[in-house]
Amino acid sequence: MSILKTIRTPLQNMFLRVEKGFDKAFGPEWNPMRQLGTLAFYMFFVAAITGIILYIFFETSVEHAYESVEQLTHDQWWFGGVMRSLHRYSSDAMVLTMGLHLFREWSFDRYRGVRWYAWFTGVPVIWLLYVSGLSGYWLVWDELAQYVAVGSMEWFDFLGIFGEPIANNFLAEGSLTDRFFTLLVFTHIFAPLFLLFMMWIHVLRVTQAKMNPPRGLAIGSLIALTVLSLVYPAISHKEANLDVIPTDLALDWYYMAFYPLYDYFGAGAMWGFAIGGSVLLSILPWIPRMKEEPAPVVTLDKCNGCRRCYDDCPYGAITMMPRSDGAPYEQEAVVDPSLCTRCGICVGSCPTSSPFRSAEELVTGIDLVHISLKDMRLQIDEAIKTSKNGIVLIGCDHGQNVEAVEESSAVRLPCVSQLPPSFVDYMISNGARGVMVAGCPECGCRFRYGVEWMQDRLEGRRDPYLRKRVPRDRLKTLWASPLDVELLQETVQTFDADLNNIEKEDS
Amino acid sequence: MLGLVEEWGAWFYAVPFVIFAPIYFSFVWHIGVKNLLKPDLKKRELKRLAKEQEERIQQRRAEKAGATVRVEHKATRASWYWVAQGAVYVLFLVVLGVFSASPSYTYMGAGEAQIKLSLSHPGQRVEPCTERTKAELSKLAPNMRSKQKCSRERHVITLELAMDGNVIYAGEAIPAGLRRDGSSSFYEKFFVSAGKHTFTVRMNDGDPTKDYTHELTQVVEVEPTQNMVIGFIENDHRFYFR
Ligand code: HEM
Ligand code: SF4
Ligand code: SF4
Repeated sequence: MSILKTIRTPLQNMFLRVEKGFDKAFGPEWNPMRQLGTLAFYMFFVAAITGIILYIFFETSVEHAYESVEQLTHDQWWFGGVMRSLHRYSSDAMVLTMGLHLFREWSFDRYRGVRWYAWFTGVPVIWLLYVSGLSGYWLVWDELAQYVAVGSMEWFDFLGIFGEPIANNFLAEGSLTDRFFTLLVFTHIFAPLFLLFMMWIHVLRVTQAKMNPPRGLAIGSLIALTVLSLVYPAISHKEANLDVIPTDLALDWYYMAFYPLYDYFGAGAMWGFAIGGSVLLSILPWIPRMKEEPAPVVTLDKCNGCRRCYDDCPYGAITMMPRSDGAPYEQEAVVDPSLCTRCGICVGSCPTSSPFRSAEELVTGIDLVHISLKDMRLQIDEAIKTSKNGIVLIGCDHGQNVEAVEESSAVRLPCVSQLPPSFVDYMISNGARGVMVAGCPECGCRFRYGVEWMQDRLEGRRDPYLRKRVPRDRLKTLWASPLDVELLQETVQTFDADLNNIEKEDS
Repeated sequence: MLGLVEEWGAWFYAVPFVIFAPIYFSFVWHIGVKNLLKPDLKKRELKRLAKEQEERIQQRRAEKAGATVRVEHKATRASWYWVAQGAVYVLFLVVLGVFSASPSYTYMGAGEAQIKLSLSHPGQRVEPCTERTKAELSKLAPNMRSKQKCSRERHVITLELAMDGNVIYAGEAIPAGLRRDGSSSFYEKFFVSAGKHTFTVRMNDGDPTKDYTHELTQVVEVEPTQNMVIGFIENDHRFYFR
């Protein structure tokens, strides 16, 4: 575990640093580093639409394919050529964004536990993306296509499942028939369809999955790709000639980096690498298994079937079922532990999560077992007592370094959104001078919607909201990265100064 | 046959306009131009009412809860953020563009050529065919009564390629199929320097009494970057160089 952590932490810090920089340029909502999955989806659709356009002009024959692409690129550069370039660059961007997305999920440890499903189904997505992209390069039927096609066929021949080597379809000029070429074209049409299907499977278990990037990012990246297409259009190599071996090749390294390795190490090693790598990647969520806390429990006595937890759970782990205890409500909440990430967001959403009760009665409709409402209040009581400047910080397990602020005390929850707004009221009525919620940046929540729901609850847009009687100048929020320690300290200091001013005015 | 430009004529240039311009303009029309040029007053009124209603609800809520409208957290953005965003996009394009077609990779030196040794040939049968006796024939179903009895298994084939007297490849291939009754296939690639070479290719397809059953020696002038195929013509039972 600690080995894993030592590799993971630097990578995580790198991502955090880049994200922090990008926050300044894009604002947290448009930050592309937090939209890698949605960007990959978007790039798929750009490639799909431009691909359909290209297909109108494409000639499916060994003899004319190359020429049709050439004419499109040069005689109609202002439309067909741009479409071709967009098609290529969006496909490359898919590899780039997918790769970063994979590393990001891995480095933030968002692939174990219930997230195994998204990770596991991500592996076939990689294969399908490569089949889709590489089969596209065959269609141009230039020297690069020749190189890639021959290499791919030889690689498959290693398995010995085809009686005669399929690479013989590319043996010499004249070996490649239109029939086989049509098969390649079909591969390039059907592989992306399967890819889309697999991408859908990949996000199937994510509730309200974000599949579209924010509009600003969508427009920005499309403009950017169009600029690249005009400045540096995609072009072909010389027409393929199977009697001549191409010497220098301008590889698309996003898709073809494995081919030089194949030339060097041979088919056996590359099969070992491909299969071994895929298997290793697939079982990664279980080495080691995530230590999982027990799932939240529903106490039917308290649950009135209001559906708030059902609406707020970012992982669709709660279903509303017909009442089983005869109480006069229609429904009750039921938790599916295999989908639950133990984020506690449901605890924060439950209207019965009130701290204004005696310790024995401190039971809520839905509660985490390892940090129950009771524990939470104990920790908060303790924090109010020990805080030197009277400010209590609420942080989360994976976010800002709230302990770094020495003058204040901090309580860490799995997600700040576990804190029911009534607890803010409770803290201020019980002697805290101020409460500061220190969560992650917008769209940077480990549990997807924690930050958004918390903001909405505190600002009165979502139930349960913070009561009006709570003086707003005693509440402060800071949504920032774990790297922003100085910002955190400064914010606490200004908050402290502001509180001093208020108190002076009051007295 | 003619290329796209000649075959399609003016259509080649017209298609983008004829097909895609309408799609493009209807898209632009629907996302906004429509409202500018032909405002739907009724809809506008309805929208205004809905907005007012929404505002009233928000207000009532605000009174109860102190609700605020979602503020876009612009404060976290730097004042130069458009410039910075542009810089990030440029970086993205550079990374994307550069690795999409460079650095170039040298598969084979310009003074070299490739030899592909590729052949598929069924080896001889392990047991030669025997004539069936009359008694045997009568036992078989009428449609199965062929005169010869043949086992299906074939011999392993050994193959050797020598260039200028040095053996550069020697190997054997098992017949395909579970019963080993198919062809044996070879597929090998070699890089050689261009120029004149003497090649000898020989094969034994299953005769233990001989060293080789088929053989061909030829002096070939191999051209740079040529893909020379050495194969076997099944009908003539002989090797070929191409
Ligand atoms: C073209 C390829 C891919 C696309 C378009 C894609 C897209 C997405 C999207 C849209 C989400 C949901 C984000 C959200 O709404 O919170 C997601 C989540 C995820 N992806 Fe991918 N993905 C791709 C490839 C991969 C690969 C190759 C892996 C790893 C092997 C992977 C691992 C994950 C994980 C672990 C999550 C779960 C996050 C969570 O549950 O909180 N993805 N992906
Ligand atoms: S802890 Fe989080 S994931 Fe689990 S049920 Fe509650 S809201 Fe859903
Ligand atoms: S939020 Fe609480 S009361 Fe409402 S359905 Fe969920 S557990 Fe029951």
